Amino acid sequence: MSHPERANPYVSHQFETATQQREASILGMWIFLATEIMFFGGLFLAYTIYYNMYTDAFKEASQHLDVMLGGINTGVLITSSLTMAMAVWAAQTSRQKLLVLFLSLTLVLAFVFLGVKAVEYMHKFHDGLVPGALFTYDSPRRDQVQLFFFIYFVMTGLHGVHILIGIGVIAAILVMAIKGKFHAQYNNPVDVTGLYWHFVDVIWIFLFPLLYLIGRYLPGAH
Amino acid sequence: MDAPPMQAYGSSEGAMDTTPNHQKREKHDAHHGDVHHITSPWVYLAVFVALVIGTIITVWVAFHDFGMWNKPIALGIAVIKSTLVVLYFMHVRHSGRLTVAVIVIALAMLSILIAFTASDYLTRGSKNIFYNEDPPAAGAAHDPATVPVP
Repeated sequence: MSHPERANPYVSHQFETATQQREASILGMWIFLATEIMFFGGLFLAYTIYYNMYTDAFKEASQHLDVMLGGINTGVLITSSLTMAMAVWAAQTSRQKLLVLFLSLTLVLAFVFLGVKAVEYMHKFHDGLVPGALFTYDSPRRDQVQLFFFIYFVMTGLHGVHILIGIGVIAAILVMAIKGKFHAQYNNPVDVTGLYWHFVDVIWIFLFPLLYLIGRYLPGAH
Repeated sequence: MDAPPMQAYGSSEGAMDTTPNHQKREKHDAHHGDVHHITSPWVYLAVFVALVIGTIITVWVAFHDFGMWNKPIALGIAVIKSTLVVLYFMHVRHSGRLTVAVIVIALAMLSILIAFTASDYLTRGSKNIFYNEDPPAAGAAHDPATVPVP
């Protein structure tokens, strides 16, 4: 008499089938992502309200962000989303070497993103655009510009923290992948990590135009 | 996900079938295409190309004056890009209804948050709260338009 959980060694005892186990993990991740939508949603709301209050100041402040670096980072993050998706595919089709390759690429791109971000932050410190005691901006709109940079640092900072957490999770998944834990019969952790990583990408898809690209068309903009 | 319908006792199949239930369910799952949809790498690549094109269009639009349409265009492209990511990279196109429900509810809650807060701020009717001008310089002429509505 076989016991249910012995039927498939990759199905935990509380689940009846591999399908049920997979759908439960995906649903759980999406419920977490729903809380993340609300988390970032509050910040996007704050941005929207103050953008409408101080539109001109926000457009002026946005000129001080580096479109080139922001654009490069957008490309880096989109590419890392592609490599993550390919990692999920490699796991689902038991392509062990490709899985390790794609996870490593995703990890490298995540570090590149953080590196570019660090360069941007350093420029802001240098230019005195960090809100607080170091803020030195000479303009009648000083306080409103400072508000923009406050929102900029909170939103990109929080996004950066998510990248950092993603790096930790992907590194752990990579170690498991090198040990050969993932294959066609079992790949939920890769799948769920992918969901998280793509979500971080989606946040950036909104952050980039809202923070970097407003008011670029204005005369005298650079 | 749903269990197979109970076989009537005595029916030719049910009477002979001694397969344990969990194996039957596995079999049942395998019969349906929903077991595990594996998205093709070419789909991922196509979505990636679309995302890159979307980014280029966003940047191009940002440097041209479309009047009041700059922001709606930028947000529209961002929504299309994120929809592509969610549907294909995040496999929601092939996910269960429960997952879709969680996403729809989250977005509905977000709309409530934004709509209710905006309905407050956008209807205060005081130009002082929504001024788009530079703050009045010290000693500037008194402008009745900036006087808050009592």
